Amino acid sequence: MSTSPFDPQDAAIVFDGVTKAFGAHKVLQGLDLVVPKGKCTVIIGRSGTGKSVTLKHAMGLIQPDAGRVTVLGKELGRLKREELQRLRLRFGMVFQNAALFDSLSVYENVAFPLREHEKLTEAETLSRVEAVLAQVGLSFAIQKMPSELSGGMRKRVGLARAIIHTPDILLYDEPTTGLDPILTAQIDELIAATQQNHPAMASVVVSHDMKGAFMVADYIYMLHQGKVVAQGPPEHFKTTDDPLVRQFVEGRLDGPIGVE
Amino acid sequence: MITRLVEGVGAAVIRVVERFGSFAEVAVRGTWTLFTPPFRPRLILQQLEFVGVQSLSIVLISGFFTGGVFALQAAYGFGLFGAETLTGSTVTLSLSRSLGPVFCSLMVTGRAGSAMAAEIGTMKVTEQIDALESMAVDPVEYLVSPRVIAGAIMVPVLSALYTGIGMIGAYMVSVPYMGIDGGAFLDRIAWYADPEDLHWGLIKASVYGWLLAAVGCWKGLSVRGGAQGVGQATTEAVVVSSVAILVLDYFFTDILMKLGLLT
Repeated sequence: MSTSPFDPQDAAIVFDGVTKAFGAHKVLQGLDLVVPKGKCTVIIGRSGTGKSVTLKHAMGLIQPDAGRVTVLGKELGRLKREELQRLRLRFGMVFQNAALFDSLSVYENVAFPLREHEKLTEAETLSRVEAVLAQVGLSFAIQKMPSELSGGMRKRVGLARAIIHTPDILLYDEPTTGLDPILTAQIDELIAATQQNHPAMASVVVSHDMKGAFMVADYIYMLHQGKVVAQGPPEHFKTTDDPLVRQFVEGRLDGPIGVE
Repeated sequence: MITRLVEGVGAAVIRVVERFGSFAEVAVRGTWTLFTPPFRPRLILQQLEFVGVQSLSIVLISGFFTGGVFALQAAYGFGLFGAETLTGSTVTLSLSRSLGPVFCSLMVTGRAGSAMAAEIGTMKVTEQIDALESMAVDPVEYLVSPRVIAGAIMVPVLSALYTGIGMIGAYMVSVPYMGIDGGAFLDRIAWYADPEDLHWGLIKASVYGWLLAAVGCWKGLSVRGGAQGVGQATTEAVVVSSVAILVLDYFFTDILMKLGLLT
């Protein structure tokens, strides 16, 4: 396996030999990866290979059993609670099921990070919310409640909430899971457009959807059994004859990845 | 055999200590963060309304009938030796010292404590708690603080209402219904009951209100799994709070009496 071409000194996120187990279940088993700034990195792998757990480690929502996670030059394990909170302000996260606050309207959801951390007038807040909702094509839904929205719309609101404070790192947890193929294409396009609109930002997309990965990725890591087993730009994944990658990309039952 | 027994007991002790530790963390931090910015008056008002105003009807109805049934039983008992007029003072003392705060807290546990566990538990399983943390907002500060302060403020208010309406219930049953002399009934209350009785009752109610909210929030935050986990947390919140309130009330009363603060 080749090592990543990115300089860990100037990376957004670095995982260095991270292991994590929940009880007897080992999820990460020595994970090494580097997420560069200004690019869209996609982490693929089967369900249960530790992709979402990886994202939660990056934000310090979970602490590793061993190994180090470094974000924007700061090692998470050494940070105090307040420092970690401040570092989290530089993240945006799009959750698998959007995780919108269902007691708040779309407007209040999207305005939430601003109201918590920036002292803006109500008019400034409104114009920022309108701007990001326009980016995700949901200007009309500003007064709706999350329960009135479809799955795809909820994810777009989740994206608007994640980018409203212009984060340095944007994390997507399975952004297209559970959507139909057309909505999937719409969200993938939105991910690519968001990266283009914020060229300095690092995006990390966790997914098992290869089509989407090829569409949005600058660089792909493939996780299997808690480790990186393949990495490279999308072309590498299209052309390699590594049997692990081929089986996953082509979605075949027979191959080195056991199906229980 | 013996080593296994020791291991088993040790593991159980560790589990209990761990659970108490996680509760204490939520309860203490939930209270502490009330005094540090950001302050959240809007959320606190919402919770005051939820815990207080929305519990009003069940508290009034249950208080009226508790006072009523208590008067029925007491009037019968005192009637055996011709002391029916003591009914009012007995009901008043019991309600203001213990029954008011305890029963009222149990009603609020069933209505609001359970709802807190269910709401926060649902937020946990739908990743809304993770979302708060990812936006650098402390879930304990955002969710727990407004609820514990609302419990500590509103349960004593409800408890005072419970006691008051309970006394009205007792009067209605004793005087018009059972024919006890109204003047004597009220006179005995004034003779035996002190403001002290009510005042300690209110302090107890405040502690129980804080406790039931803290337990509800703690159970909600410790939900694992999906809908089943939320259901279990809701049940546990009610059971743990109710038992804790009843046990605590016994020791509270005993200590107050030993210290001579209640006679």
